[in-house]
Formats: sequence, C-alpha cells, structure tokens
Amino acid sequence: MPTVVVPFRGTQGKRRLARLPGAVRAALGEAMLADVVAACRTVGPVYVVTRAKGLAVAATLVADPGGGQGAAVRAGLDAAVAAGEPPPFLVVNADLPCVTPRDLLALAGAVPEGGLALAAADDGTTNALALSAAELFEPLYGPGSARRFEALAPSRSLGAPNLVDDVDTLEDLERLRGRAGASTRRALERLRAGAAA
Amino acid sequence: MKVAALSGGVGGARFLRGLADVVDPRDLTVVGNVADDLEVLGLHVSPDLDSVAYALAGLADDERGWGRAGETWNALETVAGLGGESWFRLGDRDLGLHLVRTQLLREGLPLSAVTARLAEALGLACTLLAATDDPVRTFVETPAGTFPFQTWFVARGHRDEVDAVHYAGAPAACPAPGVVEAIEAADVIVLTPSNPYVSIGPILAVGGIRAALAGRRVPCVAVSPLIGGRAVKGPADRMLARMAGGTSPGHVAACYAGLVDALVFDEADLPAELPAGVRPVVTRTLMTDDASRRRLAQDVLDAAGAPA
Repeated sequence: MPTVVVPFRGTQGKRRLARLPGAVRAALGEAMLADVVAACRTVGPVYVVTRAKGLAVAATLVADPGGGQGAAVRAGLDAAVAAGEPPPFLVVNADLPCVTPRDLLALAGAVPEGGLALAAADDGTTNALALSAAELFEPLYGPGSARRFEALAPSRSLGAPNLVDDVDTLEDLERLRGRAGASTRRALERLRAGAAA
Repeated sequence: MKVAALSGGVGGARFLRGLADVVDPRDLTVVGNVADDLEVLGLHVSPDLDSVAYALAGLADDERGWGRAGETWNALETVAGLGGESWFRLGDRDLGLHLVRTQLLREGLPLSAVTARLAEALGLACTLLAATDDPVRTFVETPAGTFPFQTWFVARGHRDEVDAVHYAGAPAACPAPGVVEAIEAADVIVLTPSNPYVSIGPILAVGGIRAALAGRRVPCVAVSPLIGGRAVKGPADRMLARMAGGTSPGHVAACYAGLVDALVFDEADLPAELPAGVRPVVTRTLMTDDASRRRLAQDVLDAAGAPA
C-alpha cells in the first residue's frame, strides 16, 4: 500500500497570489490541501509536513524543520518510515487541487524497479513523485527539478493532466475550477461571493 | 442458466472460452480484474480484461499465451529505437485497442462503459464487466522490495518470492454497475482458474463484491489454477507455497474460505483434503484445445448442479 507525504507551506511561496488578502490566500491554500489529502487518503496513509499549527486535516502532521521543500519532504519520509509505513512513497505537492486517487495510483503503479515515477509541471518543476524506497529521495527541488529527479534513478514520467496542473495564480485556479476538488470549488465560490459583496 | 464468472487473464480467459461454448453466451457475465491495469506510453492498458476479450472473440494467441494472434511489433520497435519505454510488450494490433480505450476514458466514460463498448465492437455475445470503475492497483511485497504488480510481473519476470499482496484503492472502490446484480441474478457463480492472489483476490477486495459472494443463494464453484501442485503458467504455485503454506487443493480452497461450495481440481492433485463445506470435484483441468476447455466447463456446471 503506498504511503503519501504532502509538504504544505500554505500559500507563502505563491507570490503571484499575493494580491489577495492574507486570509483569503490561506483559505485557498488550505482548501487545495484538503482536496489533495482527500485523494491521497484513498491510496494510503498520509503525512502532511507543515509549520502551520492546528491544521484541520485528516492526516498525520509532521513539523516542518525549515530549510525548504526538500527538507520538509525528507522529514515527512523519515516520519513515515519511522512509523513503519510501507513503500512505495508518494510525494505530492499541495497545490494540485484536481488530483484524484486514479492519478496517484497510476503514478505509484508506474514505479520501475529501484527507481521512481514522476509528474512534472509545464515549467519543468516537480509536482509529484513516487519512490520505490524512501532513501532514494534527494532534495532536488527548484527550477528544472524534474530532470534532476529523473537522473537520480531509473525513472518513468507520467503526464496525467491532474498531476501536471498546479496552481500558481488565481487564473490557474479559475481555469481548473471545473476539475478541482470540492473544497477548492467551495473556497472559490466564497471568494467570488466576497468580491461581489 | 445464468452464469457469473470472476476472472483474471490468461488461465481464466482460456476457461471462459469453453464456458461460452457450453452455456448461452448471452447468459454469461464475466467480471474481470482491473488491479493489474497500468499506464504506459500515455495509454491505459487493462491486460486481464483484454485477455478475456481476445479469448472470447477468438483473437487470442494460443501459442504465446497472451496478446493477439497474428501480432506484429513495429510500433514497439519504433518506440525502443526512439529511446521510449518498451518493457511492456504491446503489439501493433493490441495498441489499437489501447488507443481507443484511452481516448474514451479521456472523454470521461467510466472503464465499465468503455469495456462494454470494446466488447461489443469485438463481437462478444457475453457481458464483460470491469470489476470496478474506481482505481485499484496491486502491489507485491517481496524480499527485494515492494513493486507495482506489472513491474514485478513483467519487468522482473516475477522472479521474487511474494510475502504479501496489497490492493491499493480497493477499500474505497465500488463495484462497477452490473457486477453485484450479475452475481445476485446468477444460477451459478464460477471463480475461473486464475491466480487467487493477483487475479481473483483484487476483485474480491472491491467493497461489496466479497459480500455479494458470501451472501449467495446459489452454488459457487472455483477451479484450481494448479495441476499436480504446479501452475500451468505464472507464479500462482510459488505464491501459494509461500503465503498459504502449500499448493494442494486444500490450500487453494482456503484462499476462498466461505465463498465457494465446490473446488474443481485435477486428478493429479489427489488425494486432497478440502475445508469443511467445500466439495471436491476431480477431473482433468489442463486445457489444450476446444474439446478439453468445453469438457472442463461442463464439469464445472455439473458440479454446481450436483446436490451438495
């Protein structure tokens, strides 16, 4: 049964969402996280790595040690391994509001022997990883990271649209609204209602 | 007489050809395993459903034991030449089917509806159902690590012993439309000679299917996939030896505890001791031609009709 790690920084890193008021931005971030976690829970145990306190999410919370996404993922993987969770290990970004259990199981099912499967964003960053073993992980995030992860071990790439479409801007969210999970759609509706008021 | 059959790929498919000959195929519903489905080259491949469909359409390659007869490999050779993924053997004709399936799935049709459409186009007279429209994937735990089913089965040539099998997604999965209805409407339920762990197991793991079988009011007959304790093809014998503690008919029947009323097995497996409530039916189960397939299917129907 796959184990899932989701690093969650809220929308801190989303500078392009910065024109939204802080509370709205936080609500959108948590709504996307809720959708991602809901999909992940069908696949296996879920570990969310975050600095946020009191996050209401149906997952095991792991304290983000700081030092960026790579360190956060490492902490999540270590916590999952320490708890005896089985491989393969999925690492799924929290800004993929369209992701479904089907996408995640297809990714986990694509892991080659001793290697990894990944889904890259259109800009070449890495949206999701499936690792045959937790030790395989290296903190390679950043621009062009998909290439670096692919070079790490035997790898397969999965172009599932729901794993490719991440959210950096409000326009991304509006564009993906039809496919997004229920929490994200509700958050967007509240945002619109607020704007209209 | 209405028959509902749960089936994996090759062995099950071979048996179903005989079954479709001895019952009115319009009264036959096959529930196929989808937990060894995979995404490869951007395509959704359902190996077990396809093995059943090809077998029942008379398109299967009997000699190779999988895939389509008269197959060619031009596309895959091209893929390999371009540095693409060629570990999963997709023939040219087979690829045509995966292209159509993938397109229909992308248009939003559930797998069961896509399967029905493909089965009709292939001229199948029986009903072929995906066990579920929800995603379920089998993972095998081995001393060399945990692998997705196809990585272990194809890429590693199922060389690793298996310590445990997991059906990810199964607890949340619902039976596809028609599956429970077919089981409930059947006069006979058959578990085909497929691997109990990686073919029949993931079907039974889908919420509601095991319960439908456990609550049956008609006989359920399983056919052992082993002859003389050995698998005709594939890793079923090694898996049973390691996970069930042996390869006798009793060990096969134990995989289906509470779900079967009779086990059909080969005379080479005598003497055999079965769990209480499971009637032994001894025959010859090796299927080498149409006549032997039909005879085995008839034996299974007879077993179901015989007084308990």
